Order: sequence, then C-alpha cells, then structure tokens
Amino acid sequence: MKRLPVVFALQLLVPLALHAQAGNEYRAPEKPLNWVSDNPFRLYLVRGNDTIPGDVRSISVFRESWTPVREDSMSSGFPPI
Amino acid sequence: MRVTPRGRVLSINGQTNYNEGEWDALLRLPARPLRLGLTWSDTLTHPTTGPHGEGEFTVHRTYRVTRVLQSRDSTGFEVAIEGNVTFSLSMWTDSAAGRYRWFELEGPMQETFVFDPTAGQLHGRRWSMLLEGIGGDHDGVRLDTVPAGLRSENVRYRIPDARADALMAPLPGADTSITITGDGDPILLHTMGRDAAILSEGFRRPDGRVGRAEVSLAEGVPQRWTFTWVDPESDRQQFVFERAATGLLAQGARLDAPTPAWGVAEYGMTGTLVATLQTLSDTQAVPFSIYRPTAGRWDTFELSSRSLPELSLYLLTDQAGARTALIVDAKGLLMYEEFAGTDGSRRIRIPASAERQAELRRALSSLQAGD
Repeated sequence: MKRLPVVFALQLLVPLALHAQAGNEYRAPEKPLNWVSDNPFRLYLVRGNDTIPGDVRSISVFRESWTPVREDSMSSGFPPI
Repeated sequence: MRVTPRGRVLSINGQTNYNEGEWDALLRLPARPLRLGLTWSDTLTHPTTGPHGEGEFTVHRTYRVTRVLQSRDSTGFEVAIEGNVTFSLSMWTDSAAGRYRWFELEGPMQETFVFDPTAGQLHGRRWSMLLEGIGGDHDGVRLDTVPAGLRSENVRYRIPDARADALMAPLPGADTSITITGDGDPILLHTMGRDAAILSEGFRRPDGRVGRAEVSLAEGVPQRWTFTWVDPESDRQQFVFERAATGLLAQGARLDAPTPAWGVAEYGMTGTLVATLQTLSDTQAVPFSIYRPTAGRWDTFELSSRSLPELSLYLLTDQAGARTALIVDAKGLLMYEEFAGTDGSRRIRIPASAERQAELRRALSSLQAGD
C-alpha cells in the first residue's frame, strides 16, 4: 500500500522569549519554514509465512508559521519541563 | 499547536487530549545551556483511540549533545536520542462489518537532530523505531492474536520557499483521476483541464515528485509543450518544445521523430497526448512515436483508434507487446486508461469523483453492448 503525498500548513504559537537563555530555546522565525517529512513504514501482522500488509511510504510537505505570544496568555496547568 | 520555548507541545487545535497530530513536533530542550556531552531526558505520552478501546503512545527518551557543528554563519548542536516506545492502537478495516485491527507494541527508537541556537530552530531531524509485540484482527465476532510489529523511519528537512511553493501549488485542471495497481492500491494522482487554447495535466507521484504539462493548441493542434517538474529534493526543472514545419524543436534543436505520427508526453502523463491523438483519423495499427522529455528519448508504438459519437478509443501497443488502452470523452479529457504489461502487470487510471465514475461506467456499458 502506498500513500499519495499530502501538503498542509501548520501554525505554532510560542511564548515571547522574554528571558531567553541563548542556546536552548525555540524562537519564532521571521518567516514561515518549509519542511518535507519522508516516512517509510510497515505496521504488520505475521500470519504463518506471510507478513501483512506491505510497506507504506508517506511523504508530506508542510509550512510552519510561528507566532510569538505573551507568556501570560499561555494556558495554565502545565508544569515547566 | 501551542508550544513552550523548550519544545513541549501544550495543545493541538486547542485541545490537550487531541488524539491525532504530532505531540513530538519539536524536540525538547533542557533548562541548562547546550554544550557538548550534556544529557537530559523526557517522557512523552499521548492517547490513541480506536475500535479496540483507548490506547497510548509513550516514549521515554534520553538526549545527549554529541557534536558541535560550526560554520561561518552559525553554530549547530547535534543531539542523539535513545529511547523506548510502547504503542497500543487499533483501526477499522471494515467499520460496516465491525472488523478492525489492533496492535500492542514495544521497542527501541533512535533519533538525531540538529538545533541552531542562534535561530532558535531545528535544522533537521531523523528518527527510526523497531517495535515488536502482538496484534490481530477482529472479524466482527472473534478476535485473534498473532505476532506483530512496526518498522518506521522518518527524515525531516527544510526546503526553500520556491520549491515548497511549487510542491504545494494546486495541480492544473479540475478533472481529477487516480491510477491504481491491479491490487487496488492508488499510486498516482492526475488532474486534467482543457479549453480551446490550452490542454493542461498535473501529476503527483508517491515519492513526492510533481509534474505539470501545458499544451498550447491552435485549432486543436498542439503547437507548444511545456513540462515542469519539481520534487522534494530538487528545484524546478522545465522542458519546452515547439512544433515546426520540420518536426519537433527543443530549444531550437530539431528532434527527428522515427514515425510520421508523433506526440510528446511524459511517462504516466498520457492525458498530454490526447490533443495529438484527436488530430489523427481512425486507423488500424499505424506506427506512432512519443517523445519523453525527461528521458530524452522516443518510444515507438502501434496505434489503433476509433471515434464514436460520445467518446474515442485508442490502443497503443509497444514493441514488447505491452498495451495501453485509452478512452477520451466528448470534452477531450482522458476518462480511462488501462495498461497491461507483458509480465502480467496491470494499472488503470479512473476518475476520482463518483459522478465521473458513473459516466465511465455508462461509457463502458455502451461499449460492451456494442453501441
């Protein structure tokens, strides 16, 4: 089974880096980022001498738009990692 | 997605328990500044739902900065991850009959990514997992259990705007069709459109490669062909051909056709040929050749054709004996294509919409009835 490739857009909201520690935080880029994801996989069952179903290759093209948001607008209830 | 500065995905589509989507869209970063040899760990858990009940994807990961990559403009930290995954999921195989498939799997995963601290972004990432366990099918009455697994790899890389624009642009033409194999697997997506001046065709392959063809027509006769290709790993490539009194011209150079009747079309884009085929009279087994732009070669066939009031039929037989049958509708659009290889392989191109499939069934019925 093969899949036809898909395209989509993704929006990420990230808090403003108010106290950014250089080197270990994500920041919203000035313009969208374009990505390709190439994912060959096989999710299978073994029945006798057969392994079913066959290989799948899933390719996606997507564009990430990042928007910085104020930290005090973030949802609450999530401990910092 | 709402994400933290250290890469935790907090919500997807406004939901904290969303069952689809990528909860690991970003790799987690540590609280301490990145440096060579730094290690940290995390655990990611999210639910899955399916007919077998609620499942779960959990991965425990240990990160380690393995290299510092210096270039003139930036510094990158290469991070290697070793982890362990447990994954339980189920999906319908025939919801009307109550049939589904289920899996309970576990195993190792590895991942590598590069983080650019100046940009605050990932440069790329690559992961693989090899899970084993049990699974089975529920046939609507009974559930069975057999060995099962998941072997999966993923590579992500950034591409320039122009290439992304070309890959994501809509294909030309509103008439959509798919090519499926003899096993019923879809392998190609096609589009086609046509007016008095232009015939266009679009094509998307499973490897992400996208093709577009545009044929300029003068009183139905092709005069100029433009083929454009783009794929995820390379930028746009274009081929332009012109009809001249002496034959086919490519950037001014003459390409001598091996037969008096000829056309231009890429492999898998037979719709581009339709306008040329329609200029020919009904015939039995005349030589016909097709120039393949990307391959830069002529393929030769025997062509038979027959015109009926509502459709036209074409049969192309190559030198090895493989046959391609085409049905073209009254609007000059390719409605059906069937390829039969000498090795027994078979592919068919059929309309995607139910309305066009009904038109095709009527056409095939009238042909079988001998109308």
